[in-house]
Parts: sequence; C-alpha cells; structure tokens
Amino acid sequence: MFERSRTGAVNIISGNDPLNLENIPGLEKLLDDCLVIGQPRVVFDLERIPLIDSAGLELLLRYQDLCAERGGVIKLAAPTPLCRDILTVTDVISRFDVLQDSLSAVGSFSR
Amino acid sequence: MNLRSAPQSFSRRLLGYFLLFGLTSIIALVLGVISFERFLREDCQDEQLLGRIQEVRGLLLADQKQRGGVGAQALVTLLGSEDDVAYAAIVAPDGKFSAHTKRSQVGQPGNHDLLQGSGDSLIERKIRSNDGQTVREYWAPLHAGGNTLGCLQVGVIHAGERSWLCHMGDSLPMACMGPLSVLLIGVIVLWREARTNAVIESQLCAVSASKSPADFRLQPLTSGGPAAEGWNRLVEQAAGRRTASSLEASLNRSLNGMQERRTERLLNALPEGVALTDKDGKISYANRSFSILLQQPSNLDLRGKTMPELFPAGAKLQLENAHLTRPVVFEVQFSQNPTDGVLRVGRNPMAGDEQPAAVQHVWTVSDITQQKLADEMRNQFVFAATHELRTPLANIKAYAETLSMHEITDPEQQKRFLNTINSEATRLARFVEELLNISQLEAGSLALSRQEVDLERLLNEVADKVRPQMLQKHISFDTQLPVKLPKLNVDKDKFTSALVNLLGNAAKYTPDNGHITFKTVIGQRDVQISVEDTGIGISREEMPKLFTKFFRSSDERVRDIPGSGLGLSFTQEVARLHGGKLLVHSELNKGSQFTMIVPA
Amino acid sequence: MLDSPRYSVLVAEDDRVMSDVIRFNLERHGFKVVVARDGQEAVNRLQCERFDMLVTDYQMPRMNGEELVRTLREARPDDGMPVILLSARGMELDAAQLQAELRIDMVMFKPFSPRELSEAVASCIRQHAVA
Repeated sequence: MFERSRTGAVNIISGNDPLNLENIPGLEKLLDDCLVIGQPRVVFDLERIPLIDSAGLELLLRYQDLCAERGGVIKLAAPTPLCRDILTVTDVISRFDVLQDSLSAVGSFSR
Repeated sequence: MNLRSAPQSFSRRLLGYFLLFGLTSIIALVLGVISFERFLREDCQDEQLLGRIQEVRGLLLADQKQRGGVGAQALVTLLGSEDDVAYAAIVAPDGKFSAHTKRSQVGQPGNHDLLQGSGDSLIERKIRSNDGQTVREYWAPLHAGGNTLGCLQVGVIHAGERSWLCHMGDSLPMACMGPLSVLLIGVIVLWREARTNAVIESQLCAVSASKSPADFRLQPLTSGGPAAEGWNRLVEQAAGRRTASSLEASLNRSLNGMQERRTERLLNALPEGVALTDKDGKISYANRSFSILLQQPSNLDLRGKTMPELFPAGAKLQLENAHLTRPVVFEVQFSQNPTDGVLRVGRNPMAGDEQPAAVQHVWTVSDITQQKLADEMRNQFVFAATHELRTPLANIKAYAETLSMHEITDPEQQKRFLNTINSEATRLARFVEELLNISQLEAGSLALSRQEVDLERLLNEVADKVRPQMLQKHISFDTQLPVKLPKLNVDKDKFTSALVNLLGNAAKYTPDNGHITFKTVIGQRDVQISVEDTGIGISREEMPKLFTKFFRSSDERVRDIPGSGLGLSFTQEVARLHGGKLLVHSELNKGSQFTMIVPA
Repeated sequence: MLDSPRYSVLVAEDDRVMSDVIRFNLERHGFKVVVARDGQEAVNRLQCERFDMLVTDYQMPRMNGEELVRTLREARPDDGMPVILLSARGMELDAAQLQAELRIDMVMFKPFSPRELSEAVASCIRQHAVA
C-alpha cells in the first residue's frame, strides 16, 4: 500500500510494501500525479519499505529522469539498512539525494 | 628575395629587345638599300661599257670602210685598255682572230659559234675563264654594207667587288627578308616575354572586378621565369591562406553549432525558467523549464506570445512604472493559496542593447513555492509564538504584581492567585517544549530514542496531565483501557507529547460541559489509541490542511483559542516516526475523533 | 482613589485569567468594572450602558480591539471616551498610527504592570472629566 501526501509544494510518497514489480503500477500512478503541474518535488519515503527489487530501482531511476526533464527532483528519505545496501550496491544511490528522514527531505526543498 | 636579383627588369628588357630588333632591322634595311644602290650603279657602269663597245664598234666599221681595217688592231687594244675589260678581239668570219688584245692570239681560231647571229644586237654570255673567274663576254657583230666583217668579242671581268655584287644581286630577296624576319623574331620573343605579364595582368584585372577576394581563384603560371615563379609562390600562399581561412570558417561554423547546441542544452537543463522577449514584448526564446514553471503544455510553442498571456489571469505583473531598462523582480502567485505555486520573476534588460526603445529582456522564473511557504510558516510561527509567549507571561506578571501590590488577606484568594501563576507558568513551559519539538521538526532532526515503555503507565500519565484542563471546563473525561496492556517500544517523551497534544486539543476545542473519550484498543498487530470529543469539529474543506504546520482553522471559535498550529503536525510526525499513522474522523459541530495507530 | 460617583470601566478581554486580574486591580482602585469577553460583546454593552473608560485587548474573538474602537468612534464621533489598548503583539502593531487615528489614549504591551494600568485608567478619567 502506497500513498501520496503533500507538504506545501512537496509530494511525499510513502508506503509499507516492498518496492517490487507487483507494486509498480500503483506507484507509477502516484508518481505520475506528481508530474502533472510545475516542477515536481518528490520525497520518496523509504522508511517502511522493506525491500527494493530491480523493477523498483528501475522505476526510481526512470522517474528521476522524468522529474529532471521538468526541472524537478526525487529525493529519498530514511531507507532501511537493507534498502540502503541495495541502493549502494547497484550504485542507484549516487543518482539520489538521500536524507535521514522525510521531514528533512521536505525541508531541503525550501533551501 | 631573388626577384631582386633577376637579371633585368621587364621594362628594360622590353626596351632592350625593342632597340635590338629595331636597330637590327634598320641596319639590315640600310644594308639592303646600300647593296641595291651599288648594284644599280654597277648596272650603270656596264651601260657605259656597252656604250664604249658600241662606240668602238662604230669606229671599227668606219675604219673598215675607209681604210680597209688597218686600225682594227689599234682600236681593239684601245678597248682592251678600258677598266674591267679583260680582253677584246675581233673574230673574222673564218673563225680566226683578226685582232686581239693579246697579239699572239691573232690568226688563232676563236669561238665563232656566235658569228651566225644576225642583226646588230649585242649578245651577252657568261663564260668561265681558265683561272676560274667569271667573265662576261659581249659579242657585237660587225656588219658593214651587207658583208660581215666578223664579230667584236669583248670579255669583261668584274673584279672581286664585282663578283660580290653579283652575289648580292642574286641574294637581294634574301636581303629584304632579313629585316622582316628579324622583326618577326622580335615579335615572337617579345610576345613570349610579355605573355607572363599579360596573364598576370588579366588575372589581377579579374580580381579587381570580382566583388570579394574569395570569389576569385588565382591560377599559377606554367611558363618559367622568375616573375612567373614569384607569382606562383604568391598564388600558392594566397591559396594556402584561403584554405586556412575556409577551414577556419567551417571550423567556426561547426564550433558555433556546437556552442549553440550546448547553450540550448544548458538552458534546458536549468531548473530556472529563462526566456527572451524582443522589443515588442514577444517571446523569442523560452527554455523548457520556463513553460513548465508557467504551467504551459510542454508541446506549446511560446514564441510570439507576450508575458501577460502566460501568467495566470489573476496574477499581477508588477511592471508598471518600471522603465524598460530597469531590472525588475517580483513574485507571482497562481492563486490565493501559495501552495498552488509562487514564482519569482525577474526581468533584466539584455546587456548591449543601446536604445531603450528597442530593448530586449531576459526573463528568469524560479519556483519559490517551498521557500515562500517556509517564510510564511516562519512568520506565522513568530506571530503565534509572540502571542503564545506573551499571554501567559503577562498573566504571571499581572498576578505576581497584584499579589505584591495589594494586601490580600483572604488566603483563598491568595491561593487562587498563586495557582493561576502556577498554571500560567505551566502553560508557558508547555509551549516552550512544543517550540523545541517543532524546531527539531523544522530542522528535520526529530529522531526517536526508543525504549520499552509500560503502555498502561504512559496512558495514565497522559490522562493525568490533561485532566485539570478538562475539570476547568467541566468536561467529562472517560478513559477506557483494556485489562492487559502490552509494553511498547517507543520514544516515551515524544509519544507522551503526541497523546497530550491530542487530548489537549480535544479539551481546547470542546465547549464547557462536553465529553471526551480516551480509548485504547489492542489489535492483532497494532495498538489503536483514540481521542474522541464532542467539540466543534473540523469542516470538510479544512480537513486536508489539518496536518500542515501552523495551520489554524479559520473557524472563529478556533481562532479564539490560542494555539500554534503545530500540535497536530507534530503528533502526526511522531506517529509516522513510530511506523504508525494518525487517522481523523470529524464532523463540524459534532466532534472529532483522532486515532493514533502504532505497530505493537 | 477617586470618590463617588464611581466611574465605570468596560474591560474587553477574552482571556479570563487576564480579565480577572484587571478587574481585581481596577476594583481595588474604586472603579466599577464590567468585563466583555470579546469585541462584539463590548459593542453590545456600550450600546446599552454608559462607561467612562474602555480598556480593551487587541486580539479578541469576533471583533478585535482595533475594530471595537473604530466602531465606537464611528458610532459616537463626539464622545471622546478614553481608551487604553492592551496588546500582546510587539513590533507588528503600529501603536502611534492607531493612537492618532482612533484617538486611543494609550497602548500598553503585555506583559504590563497592573499598577501602571490602574494609574493610567485613573489619569485618563481625570483628564476627561476636567475636559
């Protein structure tokens, strides 16, 4: 189960399911909603996301590019140690700003 | 250069050749004329001689008639003494010499084959004498009254001079041809000599006629000569320069193309919107971020549009009174609600535009929504904080001063005053704590320090904290706890604050004599703690903004009640940090129910 | 302390804790005190009763202090009833401008001294009585 919330002009995507092939369609819909108007500012809250698989990594990279095309960015927040390892091993982490928690991620947009 | 050491300059050579061939032909002509004249003169001499011969012939005939030919020998000898006459003789009709300059020859047979010639005409013939000299022989028949006396034979020798003259006479046509051929050769030589220059000249003329130097290509010369060689070098150099310059030009073109593409890519990669307007205010360039920021369809070509067309209808472009050359910066909001987007728009005159009337503008647009919201929050915060800090402080000061100022003998009243001071101090302390939490929240450093907590004790502590507030407003407070409560691994202080917040809100927004239920349900995987009140409730419109920091309902009843607008966002954050969430059910004027769910 | 007739003061203050202490102090100074819980209530009170003095908080529900004074001045332009404005705001409030525009006698910032308030009320009433 994933959901999108808004803090100011920042979209926060959070959820407690693994970021895998099965959950991609729902996430795509949420992320597409972030891309509709203006420059997307998205925080992907990974705090309660137990696992990311290759499809999930691909999704992150794809939407990072889509956001960048519109002058926006996706930031990752609070990945679990496992998720952080997955992101690090695949070097996907280098494409993202990773923050300690979603609040500081949201806060980083106002700087 | 070795051009300098060239033997002669062209003009000198031309002059030299001109003089050479001119003089040569003149000399040849003069020689020809002289020799012809000489020849003519020789002819004249011959005629004299012939006249002499005729004269002698006449004398001979007269002598024959009068004296029977006694003086013949003497006349022949006389003739033989003439210049150029080698010999003279009279051949008798019998073919023997009847007289001869050489007396020994008299009576000797001579040539008489010409004797049969008739008439008085002189016969000339050339014979070659024994010593190799060409001798011209004149035969003059001697006729006197029908009988032939013989024939006068005169041998004339042209000495060396005379033979050269004869030779010259033979080669007279050649002598005429001389100057002609000299002139012809001169023409050819001069033509060859001048050809190099002519080619160079024609090329130079073509260069001067062509509009730009690049249009004309110089041709190298094939014929030799230092001038041609020099010209070829020049041509080579020019060609080299032209290739270099054309290479440079094409390099520049491709570089410029690259530069343009790079600039284009650079501008499109900018998160800030950049656009250029011409002197009519029409857009001549806009990068990708520009149309995105102005919420225009990405496939729409913005060129030719003006700025006011692009901004939302309500947005006011603060450009009045701004001179065209003055940089302007202003903010544009998409709607009344800054959350919908706030743009900072800058307009700067393009550098290098001299005339103010024709000024082009560079527009920059950046999205400052988040900064704007943060600013607004800070302002709200400062505003709320000053009020919230001052109110209890003012009360404490007023009561303390009143206590010290007047002699209050009634111990009940004294106690009441002191209690008030105490509760106001508590209110102040609570607010300061809230501020601290919020500042952590703001800084994003709200971290949990989890520990095992006895939930029952925690809930009771929370209930005790808010109970006085409820009592003050005569609110009935109902606490429902299950029989057995588990231990939870939570951040005790933050968890407590969150629940106190919820109960405090319930107490604040529930009118006197209301009812509040504090209920805990243990689920299979989670714990649900709910606070239900019979308060003023939350309108449907304001529900989405409920957890926004510093949000305070516009409901007048809420505005009356002091609050920072931070409590709920803090509580939600605490729930989220614990891996749980905060749910709300509320109905305006009936009451609200907040449920905090945390994993067990 | 003023002699009778007792002057009456309307105190518009939403915070009960604060209004209590104001009432206590002013009563100790011999004034008759009526407390209104917000601006609107104060307006209603002003319509049916006569007061010698108005002490109002700035931030109040329904109608704030500024609006209250403005309503008062518009309703009775000739009545120069003295007004003291209490405010928990600091710099945000342009006190001088308010004082001039609404003929407010004094703006006091919270936290204030109750004794100063009492003295100010007394002096305002005295000045008004003389005028």
